[in-house]
Amino acid sequence: MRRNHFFLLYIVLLVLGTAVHAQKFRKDDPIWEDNDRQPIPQPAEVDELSQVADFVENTFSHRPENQVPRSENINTLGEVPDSSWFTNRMSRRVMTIEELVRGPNGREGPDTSKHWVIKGGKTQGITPGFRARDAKGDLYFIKFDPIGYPQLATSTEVICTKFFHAFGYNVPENYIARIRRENMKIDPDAEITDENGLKRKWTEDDVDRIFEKVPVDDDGTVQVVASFRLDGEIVGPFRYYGTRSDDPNDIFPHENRRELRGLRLFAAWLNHDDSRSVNTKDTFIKQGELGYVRHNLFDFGSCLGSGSVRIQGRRAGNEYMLEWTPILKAALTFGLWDRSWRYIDYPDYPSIGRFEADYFRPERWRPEYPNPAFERMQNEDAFWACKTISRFTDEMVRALVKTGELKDPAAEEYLVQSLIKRRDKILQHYLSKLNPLTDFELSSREGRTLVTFKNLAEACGLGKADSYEYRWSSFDNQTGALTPLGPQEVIAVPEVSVPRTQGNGYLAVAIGALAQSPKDWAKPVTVYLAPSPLRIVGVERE
Amino acid sequence: MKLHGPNLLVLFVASFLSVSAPLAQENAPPPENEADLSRQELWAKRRQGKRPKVEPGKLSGFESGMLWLETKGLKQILNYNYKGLYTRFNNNMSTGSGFAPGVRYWQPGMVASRLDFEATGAWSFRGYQSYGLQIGQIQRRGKIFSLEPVGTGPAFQFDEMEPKEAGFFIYGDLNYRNFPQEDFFGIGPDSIEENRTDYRLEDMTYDAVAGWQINRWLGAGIRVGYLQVNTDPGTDKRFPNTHDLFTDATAPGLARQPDFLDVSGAVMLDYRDRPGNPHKGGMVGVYLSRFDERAGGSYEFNRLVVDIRQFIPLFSEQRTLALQLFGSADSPDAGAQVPFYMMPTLGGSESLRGFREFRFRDKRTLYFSSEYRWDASPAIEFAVFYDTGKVFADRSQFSFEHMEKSFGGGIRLKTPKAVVMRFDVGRSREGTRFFFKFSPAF
Repeated sequence: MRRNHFFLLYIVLLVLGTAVHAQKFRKDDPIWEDNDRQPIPQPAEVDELSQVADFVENTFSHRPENQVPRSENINTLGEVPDSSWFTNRMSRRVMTIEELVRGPNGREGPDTSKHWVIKGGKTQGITPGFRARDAKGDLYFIKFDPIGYPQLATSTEVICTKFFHAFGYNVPENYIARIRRENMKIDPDAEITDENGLKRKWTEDDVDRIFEKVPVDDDGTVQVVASFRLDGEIVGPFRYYGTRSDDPNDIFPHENRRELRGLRLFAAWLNHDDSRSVNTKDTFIKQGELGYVRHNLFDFGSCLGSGSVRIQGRRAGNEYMLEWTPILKAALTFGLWDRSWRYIDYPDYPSIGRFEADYFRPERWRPEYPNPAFERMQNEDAFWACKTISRFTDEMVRALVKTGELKDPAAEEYLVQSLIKRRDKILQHYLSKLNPLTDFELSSREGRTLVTFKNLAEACGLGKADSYEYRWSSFDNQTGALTPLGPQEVIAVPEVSVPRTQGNGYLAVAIGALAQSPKDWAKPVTVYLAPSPLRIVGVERE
Repeated sequence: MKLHGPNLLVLFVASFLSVSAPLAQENAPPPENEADLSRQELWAKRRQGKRPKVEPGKLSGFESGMLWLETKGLKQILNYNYKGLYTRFNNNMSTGSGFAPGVRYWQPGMVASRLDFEATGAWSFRGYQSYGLQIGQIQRRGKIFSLEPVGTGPAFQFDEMEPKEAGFFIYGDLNYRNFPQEDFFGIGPDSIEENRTDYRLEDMTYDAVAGWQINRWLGAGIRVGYLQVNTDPGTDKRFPNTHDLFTDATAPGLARQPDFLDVSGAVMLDYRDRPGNPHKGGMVGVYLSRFDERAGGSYEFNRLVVDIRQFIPLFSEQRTLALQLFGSADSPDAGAQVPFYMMPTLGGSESLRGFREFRFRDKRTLYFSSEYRWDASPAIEFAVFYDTGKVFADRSQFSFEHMEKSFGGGIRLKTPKAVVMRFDVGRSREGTRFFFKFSPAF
C-alpha cells in the first residue's frame, strides 16, 4: 500500500516537473522584426574607447565559455529579425545590382563644384582628415589616401561600405569625391587637436600639411572619401560583449547576437581586420522627447588590402597583435620557425595593397585582436552568414568593386577575382560543417502537402547529396517531446511529404543529406510545422 | 527486479530532478500568463524588466585612465607645452646619471620667421645637470644628422634613430654640463676593476654648428667652438675620488684642465631601413676632430672615429644579424697628451656589455659587436650577442690579440619604428651585468 502511494506521488510530481517546461513556439513565430526601438530617454554619451584598454581587455578576458550558448536574438527559423542592429537585405532576398551599387547612399553625394569650408579636425580613427561642409552646406568627414597609394583607402572604404550595407548592417553614407587644395576654406571657428593633444584654430599650414602628404592626380585633384554624418546623436561605441547598461532595449548580450557572430565571416571575406569596438557607433534616433539607440558599423578604411594610413600589414588577418603560440614558437626556436604569411607574394597594385585569396583560409582568419562575438561563432552562425554570402554572384561582386572607381583595370579585375575566390573558400569550408539544407517551404502537389528545400552547398557547386533521409515526429510544443510517427525513410529528391495525422498538433521532420563527403551533411536539420494553418514555424540544426 | 521503498524513493527523486531541474534552469517558472505571450510580447516583457535597472554607461578606471593617457595625458606629459615650455625626458646625460627629467623652451620662427630659439635644462636624481641654449635655423634638427657636443668623450656620435629628411641647419650652441659621478678605472687595457674611482666633470662649450642633410641617406655636419673643462672630486661615496687614487701622470689632465678650440666634422651615410629598429641596410659614420689647447701645447690632438654598422636579414625579416665595427683614434701632437676625461671608453650598455660603463679608457679603441636578433612578434625581439674590443695607447699596439670579450642576451620591446625598451644581460671575466635601457644597443 505504501509502495503504491509512493508511486502515485512520483507520477504526480513527474507531471508537475515537466509542466514547468516553456513552450517552444509562440503564436507569432517566426518573427521578422525585433521591436527594440521602444522609446527611451537619450543615454548620456559614453566616451570613446581607449584603444589600448580595448586591446588589453579583449586579449586577456571575455574568452568563450566551454559551452557556448546558441545565439539568442534569432527567430525560430534561425534568422535574424530586423532591429536597431540589423536590416535583412541580402540575408533574405537577392538585391538588384542597382540596389547594391546605391548602398546606403540616399543623396547625390557632395557638391564639389565650389569651395568646401573646413569645420574642424577629424577626431576619430587614424586617417588624416577633417570635417567640412560642401557647397550645399552638408557636413562630411573627409578622409584621404596614404601617399604613394592613390585610391587605396578611399576606394576600399566605399566598396566595403556597400558590402556591409548589403549584408544588413547600419553603415554611413560614403562617397568618392575629388577635391582641390585651392577649394578648401577654413571656418574661423574651426579647431584642430594638435600633436600635443591641445586644441587650437585651424591654419592654412594645417591644410597644406595634409595635402602635402596625399597622392595628387595628374589633373591636380585628390580623391577622398566623403562620409556623411550618421543619423542621430552619437552616444558612444558599442562593445562586442555585454549590453548597454543605459539602454533597456538592449537585452541580448552582444557576444550572443547572430549578426555580430556571423560578422566574423563577412569581415574575413573583406579582410576587415579592424572590426573592433572602436569602429562602431551607437547613435540616438530622436522621436520627440524620447527615441532609441541605433547601432552602426563605420570606418572601413582598413579592409581588403588597405590599412587606412598605409598599405595593409602582412600580419593583418593572419595573426592577432599578441598571439602566444607563434610568439613562443619563434622565441624557443631562436627565430628559425617563421610565420608563413611573411612570404605571401602580393601583386604590385598600389590601389589594392596587400590582398589575396590563395593563402587565405577563412577558418584561420582573425582580426587585430580577439573579438568576443567572433570567438563565439558557431557553425549555425556561420551558416547564416554563408547564406548571405552565397547570394553574391560574380556579377554583383564586380559591380560593387566598380563603385570604388579604380583607375587601373588590372587592379580592379584582380580585386574582383580575389573576392570571388575568397567567397568560394568561405562557402566551401563552412557549408561542409553542417547540414546545408535551407529554404524550407510548404507546397502542394497532387493532393499532397510537401516540405521542399534547397541544398545550399549543391547550389554553390560544392558537391551533391546522393539522397535525403528523414523522419517525421509529432512535436509537443508544451513539453518539447518528439514522438516518431514512423520509420526513417530515404528520398532522392529535396522534398518530403507531410504525413496525414490524426489530431491537430505540431509536426517535426528531421532531414539529413547523405553524401560520400562531407559526412557532416548527415547531421539532421529539424523543421517544425505548426498547425492551423499548417506552416513552417521553426528550423533547428544540430 | 522488484522495486522496494528506498529504491523507489531514490528513483523518484532522481526522476524529478532529472526532468524538472534542467527545465527549471532553462525556463524559470513563468509568471502567470507568460505562456500565452507572443514572442514579441515576451521580449518586450524582458525589456520592461530591464528599465528599472538602467544605469548610465561608464568606463572602468583602467579604461578611463588609458583613454586619458591616449588622448591627452601622455602627449601632455611628454610634450607639455605652456607658451613654448615643454617637459623633456630624452636628455643627453651621461650613462649612469639616473632618471633625468628636464624642460625645454622652444620658440621657432622668431625674428622674421628666420630664427629658432631653444633652451633646455635637465637634472637627474644623482645630481647630474645639463643646460643648453641654441639659436639659429634649427627647426628641422630632429630629422637631420647633427653632431652632438664633445665633452664626455661619447664613443658614438651616430646614434640617430629617426629617418632623415633633406634639409639644412645652422645655429649657435651653448652647453653646460655637470656630471658629478663619472667613473674612472685607470687608463689602458690593464686597468683593474678594483681601482674604480669617480670624479666630477664640468664643461662648457660655445659652438657654432652647421649641417646639411643632402638626402635621406647622406648628411654632413661641422661644429666649431670653444671648450672649457673642470674636474673635481666626485660625489659618489661608494668609491674613492679619482684625485685621490690617480695623479696627473696616470690620469693626464687631472691637475689642470685646459681650454680647447675644437673643430669637428662628420659625414654619415645611413641606409638602414628603419634607423630605430633596423632589419636591413647599414650605416657608416666618419668623424674627424681637432682639439687645440688655448694656453700651451700639452693637450693637443686629432681624433678620428669610424662607426660602421650593418644589418643583414637572414632569409627573413624575422631574423637579423646585426654587426658593428667601431674604431676611435686620438693622435696627440708630439709631446702632447689627451686628457683622460676626453678619451674614448669601452664598457657598458652599448659596448662590451659584460663590463661596467666607462670600464676601459685610452687614446684608441677597437670594438666589434655581433648580435643575432629575432622577432618573436613585431613588438618583442630576442637577441644573443658577442662583444669584443680593446683600448690601447698607440698605433703599434693595434692588433686583434688580447681583446676583451663579453657575451649575453636580451629581450626588447619595440614599435615598428623604434626599440622602446631593452633588457640585456652581459657576462665577462668581471662578472655579469644587467642593463635596462630605453634605446637599442646599436
